[in-house]
Amino acid sequence: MPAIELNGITKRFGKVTAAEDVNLKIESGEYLTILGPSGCGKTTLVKILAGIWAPTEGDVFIDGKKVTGIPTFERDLGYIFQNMAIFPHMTVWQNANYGPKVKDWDKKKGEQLTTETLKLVHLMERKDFLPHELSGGEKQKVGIARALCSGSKLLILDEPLSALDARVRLDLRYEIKRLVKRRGLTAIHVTHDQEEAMSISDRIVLMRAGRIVEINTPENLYNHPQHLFTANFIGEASFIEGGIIKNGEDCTLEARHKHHIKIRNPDGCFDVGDGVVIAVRPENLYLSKDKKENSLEGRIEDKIFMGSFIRYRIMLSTDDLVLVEIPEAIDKSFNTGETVNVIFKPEKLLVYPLPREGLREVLSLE
Amino acid sequence: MPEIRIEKLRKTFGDLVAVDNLDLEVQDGEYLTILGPTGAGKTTLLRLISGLTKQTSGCVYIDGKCVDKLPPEERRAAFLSQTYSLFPHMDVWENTTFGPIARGWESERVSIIGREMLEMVHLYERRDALPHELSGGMMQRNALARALSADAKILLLDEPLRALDARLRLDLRYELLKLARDMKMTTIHVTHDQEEALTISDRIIVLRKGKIIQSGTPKEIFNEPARPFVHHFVGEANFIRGALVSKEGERSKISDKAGRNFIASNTPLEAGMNVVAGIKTEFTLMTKGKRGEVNSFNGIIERKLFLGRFTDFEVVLSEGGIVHARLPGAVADKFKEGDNVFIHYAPERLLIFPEPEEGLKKELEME
Repeated sequence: MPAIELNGITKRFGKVTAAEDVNLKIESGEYLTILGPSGCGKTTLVKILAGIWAPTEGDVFIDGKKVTGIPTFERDLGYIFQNMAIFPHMTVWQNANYGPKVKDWDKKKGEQLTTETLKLVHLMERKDFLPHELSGGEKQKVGIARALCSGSKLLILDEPLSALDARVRLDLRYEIKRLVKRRGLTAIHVTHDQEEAMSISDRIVLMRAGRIVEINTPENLYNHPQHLFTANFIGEASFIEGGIIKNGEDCTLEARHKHHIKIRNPDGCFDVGDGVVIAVRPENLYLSKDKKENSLEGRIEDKIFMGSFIRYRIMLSTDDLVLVEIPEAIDKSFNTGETVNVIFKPEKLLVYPLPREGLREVLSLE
Repeated sequence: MPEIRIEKLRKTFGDLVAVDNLDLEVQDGEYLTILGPTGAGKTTLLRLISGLTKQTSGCVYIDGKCVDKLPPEERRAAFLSQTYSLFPHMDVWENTTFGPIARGWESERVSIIGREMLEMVHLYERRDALPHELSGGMMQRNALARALSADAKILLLDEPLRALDARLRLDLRYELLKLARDMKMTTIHVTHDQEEALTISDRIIVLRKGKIIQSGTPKEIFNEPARPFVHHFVGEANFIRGALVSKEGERSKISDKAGRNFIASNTPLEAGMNVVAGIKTEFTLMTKGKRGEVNSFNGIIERKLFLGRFTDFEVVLSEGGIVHARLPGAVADKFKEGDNVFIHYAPERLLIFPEPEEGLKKELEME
């Protein structure tokens, strides 16, 4: 069970800096996900870790040993990517058993490992099938099984589910996690899909423009994001800009058109006159026909059915668009065009200093 | 008058039936989504409507006229593929006005339409950029502007968001819908993503193995699925196999092989039949204490998976079997792995279906 350390990793391609001074420690047995939008440097980072690319600066340590400069095949790791190439003329069994066979392991030991792995991915019943007889999801599972049978204790998964259908992805991601945990492997998983990242990871590294924005557990990133970008990228959020006009117990923010919202200021981090941004999750806003404490009027622009809940898009009197999600069971069924009151609960609002580069720039997904 | 009408449309590739005697009407201005797993025939159906693929038999009518003899460019249907296929050496403006120029429109008209389309997709400022200088979302909007500048009335979208980042998709799917509405386009949108389909459609048709298995509003598809497959594909469901024992008013009684009894929703099926009953994981309730005698089962939480807005639980029942429950964040916080819990099914949410001919496992297969 290897532990990994990236120490001051920088990678430049000509004038483009793909990764800049990245420091990261991965515990032995951890399932870590590197998450971020296209071009954030997440794939660059794992390619450096795997030894496929060399860093411009910095070092990689596996189990305390410096491996910078050591080629991939000597690093003893399994690498799984989007479309795993499997041998078309070999059966499921032969594909999975390829590693143990070419490595000339004890036959019994190799076969035992292969059997166990194929059972874990629910493919033992199809062990005599050829790849063209399998579905896309099953083929990808064969590729994963083959990587796992190589006996490596370190697994790198580079967008392993991106080529599959949304619904197939859901089932497969749980299987991968279960497998990794049962084998006691260390896994590093790269994805752009925040929901996938949340569902499988012990910790998530959120990256943007070659740098780490934040590292934390899925729960902490969703419930207590330290950065505005995190609040928007992991889950959805609505944003309202304003200035602090009153401090202390009744800390109040003035938004556009002189509308007031009460917020919390527990550590007194904000002073009167400070520019701030409120971020709030759609499920943390509430609707009422009548005016309530700490509510603002808004007009329903759109109403969207989402299964067990209804999503409203509401244009507030502050000219900010907010998303509000109400469980269908308690929804009062407001209509498009109607005026409603949006209730803000101070304990459910995340408050950040107004970013110097502008809110739009900080939230941008591309 | 329906904008698009399809009659007994069929397309085979050798032995493979991709589209199987399909009938469909799409109303003027409707946003219709074709939802289904890979290989269901979604893209083939779209290509048949656009004229890019020729059907084996059957007819496509647009505005009441049979368009079988019309080439794609005369059907006034803009086709947008997942890969956008922009000309790499042309800038945003040239890509957008390519169609009108090729059609020989006079330059003034070309300029007006080009500007109109690019302003609509917020790319007029970037009109001099080449495709490789654009982000994924911008390329998609450029491709959309190009598709629309050809004076189309019908928009055919083949997985238009598939190549984009997951988070970006959430924002862009709404923009796409708004654009189609603003331009009063009749839109057919193909996707394999059930959440995308729920959020953008006026109507969804679920396609499987070349056949339409259900057509309805997002609410109907979610709350009144026609088959176990739809129940499990749009959302996620827990299933029980058993026999329909009796019917009383709005309720039915089911008994499974282990002898457990369930009270389920109303059904037109006859008592004595073998049935499957299913409930969405989002409507499967979980509590710490027992609540009533009906549809209440004891179990242990085996797995807890945080998803943000929701948390998924896997519960192993003490009488055997695994149940999944999806709880909103605030409620989910009260439970952890290893907890002893009770699972409840609201009878009106437990839907009954005839036992599938090929068995439940085959019925639920996604690929």
